[in-house]
Amino acid sequence: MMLGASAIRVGAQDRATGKTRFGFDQGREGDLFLVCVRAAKGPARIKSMDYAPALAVPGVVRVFTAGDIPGQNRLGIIPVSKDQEFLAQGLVRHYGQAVALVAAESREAALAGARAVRVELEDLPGVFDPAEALAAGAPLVHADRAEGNLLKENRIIKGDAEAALARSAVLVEAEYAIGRVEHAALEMEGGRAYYQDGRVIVKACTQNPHYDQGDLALFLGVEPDRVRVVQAETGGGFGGKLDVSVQPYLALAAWHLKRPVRMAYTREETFLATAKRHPFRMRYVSGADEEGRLTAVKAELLSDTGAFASYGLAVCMRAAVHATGPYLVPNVAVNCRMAYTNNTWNGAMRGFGVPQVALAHEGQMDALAAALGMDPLELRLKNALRADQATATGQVLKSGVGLTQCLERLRPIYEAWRHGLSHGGWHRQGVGLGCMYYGIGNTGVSNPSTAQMEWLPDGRVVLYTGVAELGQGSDTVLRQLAAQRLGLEPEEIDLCRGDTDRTTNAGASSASRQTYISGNAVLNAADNLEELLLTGARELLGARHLDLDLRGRLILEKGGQGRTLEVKEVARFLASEGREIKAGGRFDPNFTALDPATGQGRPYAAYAFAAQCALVEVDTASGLVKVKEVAAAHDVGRAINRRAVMGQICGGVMMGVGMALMEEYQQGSTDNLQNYHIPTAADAPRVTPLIVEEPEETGPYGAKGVGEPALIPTAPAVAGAVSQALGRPMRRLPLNLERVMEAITTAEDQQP
Amino acid sequence: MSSFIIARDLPEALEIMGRGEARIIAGGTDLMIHLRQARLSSRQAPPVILDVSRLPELQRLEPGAPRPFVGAGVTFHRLESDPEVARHLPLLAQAASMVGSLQVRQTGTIGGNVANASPAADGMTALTALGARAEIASLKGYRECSIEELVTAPNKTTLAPGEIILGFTVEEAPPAGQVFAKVGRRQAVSVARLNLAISLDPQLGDPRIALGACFPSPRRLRDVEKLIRQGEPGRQLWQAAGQQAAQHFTDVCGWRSSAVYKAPAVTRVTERALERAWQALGGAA
Amino acid sequence: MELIFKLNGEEVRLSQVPGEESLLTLLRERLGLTGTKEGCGVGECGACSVLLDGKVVNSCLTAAWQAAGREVTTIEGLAGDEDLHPVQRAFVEAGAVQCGFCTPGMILAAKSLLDQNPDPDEEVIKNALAGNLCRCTGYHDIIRAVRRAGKLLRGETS
Repeated sequence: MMLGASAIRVGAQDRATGKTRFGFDQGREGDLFLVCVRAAKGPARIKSMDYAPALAVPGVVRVFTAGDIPGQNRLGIIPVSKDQEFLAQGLVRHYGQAVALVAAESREAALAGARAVRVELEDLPGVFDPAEALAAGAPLVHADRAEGNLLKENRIIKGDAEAALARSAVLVEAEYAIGRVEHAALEMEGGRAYYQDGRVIVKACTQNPHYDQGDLALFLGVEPDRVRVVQAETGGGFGGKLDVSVQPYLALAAWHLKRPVRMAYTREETFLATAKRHPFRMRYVSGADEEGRLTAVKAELLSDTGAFASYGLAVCMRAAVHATGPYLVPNVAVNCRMAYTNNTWNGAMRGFGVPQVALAHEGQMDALAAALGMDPLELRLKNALRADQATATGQVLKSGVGLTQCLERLRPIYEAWRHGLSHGGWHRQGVGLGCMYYGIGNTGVSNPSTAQMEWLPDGRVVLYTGVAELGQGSDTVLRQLAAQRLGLEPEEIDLCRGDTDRTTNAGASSASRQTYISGNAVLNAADNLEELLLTGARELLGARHLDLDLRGRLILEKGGQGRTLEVKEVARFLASEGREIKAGGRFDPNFTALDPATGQGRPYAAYAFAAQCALVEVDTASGLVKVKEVAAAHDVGRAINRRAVMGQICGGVMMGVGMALMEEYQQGSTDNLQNYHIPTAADAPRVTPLIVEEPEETGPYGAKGVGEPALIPTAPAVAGAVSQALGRPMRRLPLNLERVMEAITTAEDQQP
Repeated sequence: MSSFIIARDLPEALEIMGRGEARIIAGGTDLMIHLRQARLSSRQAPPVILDVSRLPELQRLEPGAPRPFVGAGVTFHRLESDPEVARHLPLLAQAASMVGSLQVRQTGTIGGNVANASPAADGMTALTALGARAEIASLKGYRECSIEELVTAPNKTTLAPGEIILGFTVEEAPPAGQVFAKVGRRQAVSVARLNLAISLDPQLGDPRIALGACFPSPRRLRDVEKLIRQGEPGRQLWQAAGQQAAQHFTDVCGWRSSAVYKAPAVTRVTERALERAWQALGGAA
Repeated sequence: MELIFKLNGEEVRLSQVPGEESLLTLLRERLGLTGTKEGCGVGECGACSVLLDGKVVNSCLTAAWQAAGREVTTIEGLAGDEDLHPVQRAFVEAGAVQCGFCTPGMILAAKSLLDQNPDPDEEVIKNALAGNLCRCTGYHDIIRAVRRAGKLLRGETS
């Protein structure tokens, strides 16, 4: 099979026949059920808790509270900001935080037990707005923090933005805002755990099994080898399954009770007690010269991490780094602040802050185009980053800069739509553009991946990877890469995935990093496996310096009619010597840390680029917006699996449409899918994915990543299109009925 | 733990209802949500759940009869796909087609829609415009009443313990002039932010307008109907009617925060629906 | 009283099924058929879709007893022992399966649609599947899969 071909997804058949058991489906006859007792207010002090009535409920086995945690009750993905208490310890920091955990023989008994726990809470003053949280005298979310409610402040300073703005021919200044968004992966969090030979084994849905193992060991106060985490098949993540959720509860109960336990969140619990996308308020000033070349961008960003840090540090830094968009901006002044509040915590979600800033940097491009009387596409093209130019952090990109190609691919579609716009009695149409760039992998830190490959004596080849498959297709793509390198068919390679006993750390399935980083680690493992086999072949042949080549299951002498060996002969030889034919691989992208004062540096080794345009129709009677078409051009470096890339693009676009039009989490009023709407098939635009392959020289066969880039340009493009349709800039998402109707009536009132 | 009884005939169902401890299940699309909520909060389930979905009396559907009748157990899917309903009561067919998902339309019933008494129930708004009268049975006998008398507030009806809605008789109206309009937060499967059922006749002698999701229960806008009866068909009249509808809404509900959206939306959606109904009757745009 | 119905072609008899129990709970917890998924519990997402007498319904909004005397088809009952059902095959081949959590319900909804309308156009497919949420695919490849399944069922392609 050729690289780039649309190999059928690993596991698709089992999913289509219902055989796949997801984390949520785990559980066997006789397992105990776990249910959390959640605080009905927050912030609050726990005055008293009486769980004796729960123990009196038939079937209830035990009630756990914070005092039962043998280890550290402060967990979190980023080592320097572990602050999330999985069972409240005296203080409830947000509404819905778990205060106790009930284990019972049935779900009904566990629910009844949870309701029977008497928790007396005393309200504490809280703060729910990030600006208020940073004001003097605000109630502290974590009283022990010297920095108060400020989690982090990131600056990106390049050149002299103030001076450049003062000299600019045009200036545009505007504010943008975006609310909290729920991942709404179709699978709710769930899993199972049991105790065996002094260890706890946890099988749950997750995006990062090796991180889970480490944090569960901290939680239990044991060495990591006492905890085994197996990634259950995971029904979507989008960042929502990067924090641990049910895992600490499962581990705690299995540890104490030495019995198998299971847990499954209700959808309401998923809304209430997992992370959301960070809300952002953004204030931008952008300048350009007479020809439309950007002179400077100044941005003030403010966000809310909620009660816990989770991925807040990463989102703060990434939002700052990407705040000026995929353009050549000579002078930059970005300030991004992330505050604690008593809201449910916010964390990772597809794009880590970049979708939020993209709304603003694209809105600014549209505003500049209007001020200059330029076509928005031409303006973007004029300013698009090109090879050998520097990003906002001063990183000069040598290869893999495909934004101009993306825009050129869009151009004919964009122009046709613009010329074909229709406006009727009750509808108006518009076209909008969105561009983005996205650094692959974690920001300015080491984030390696490892993998192993093994040639078994019976001829089977196994790829061992810690990469969590969530539906994005990493199983399929990593297997394709390994097969390509070894000259095998993907089906000839067995996968062993996501088990801390059998695979090694590949880092999180996040930051669009697995194709690029783990793909490279897999190729490295394949190279090392090849070297093992060739060395074995030379030994078998007694010719130490023979120049050999591995071609699938054959080993050939290079450049001649020389000897040919079958790999199985070599394998048999090595096995007879008791030698394992297993090789490891590793890859860590080349980076430098950002300068703490100026944010300058090389935070990523590779960047993906994309441009999308959207055609929308606004119903001016109701304010309902329909996205009719989206064309999405993505520079992915190299498509390892075209079908999978297009699947990511179409899925990302749809999620972006949801964020643009209808999605906003509001604590207390959006508690399930009937009041938090995500797009249905009837909301799906026609999507034209356009794959641009501008090879990244450090990528596996030139590949970068596409998971998050797929979503990032969509909301700005939709907002731009609605703005064009209504003749008013739309700078707050979502563009729900109320906001659109307000714009329609205001526009009409202002007409002469 | 509830016991579940599948009623075989109406007398049996009425007898069970007469004992006073049964909850009715028809399609289940509302009741099952309540039962789940009860389970999650450890509340008691009703002692008896009475399934009326197999009662032939509730399945009667006679849209072409001199007094058209729609059985309470008729599903939305049947209403949206039955050609006779489309011919005689297109308002009901249109409303039914906009309810929930196909899954919900294939099980949810028009009777359940009314009994559940959500202010946003699409079927109920259509029935209200069609002047529907509910036929209600109990051991004590039969009674009938209008939808507006039956449904008094969100999730509140005047149904007495022991009563079962058998169905609805509706008034005839010119099919061509019937338009149902719904606004939700996405293109499909959403609760109505507002819904509107309109019926016009070529003489504008008997216009009917019902507005839902704006009041505690759907309402006929009789002042708007009067305005239309007395007006000259055309853009100005539809505009005036839209404004009157919004005025009616704010008069009843006050200028609450939701009115910032709903008042202009009611104005516009009403105007457009009237325009469309009039065009469908052959009138000029 | 025993609850008796046909499940995937075979009669099942169950005793002591509470009246308030949903068909979803019965399938997943009592019978261990976890191919039927739960995504919301309130009839909004369609992950729990099953066929009741051939029509797609949300099993979370269906009381188990409503199945009495009827025929229930779950995803486990769709394929033969060896071969995938054409709708399943089309989903696998068209890339309509990403995380796969919505897939069983989506496939049953698609089958129900194609049984009633063998050659639906894009708008009909979108409306028929609007009750089955998917967060991964953007529905693009699912719509392609349904069209492909229609062709397979009509014998226009193999």
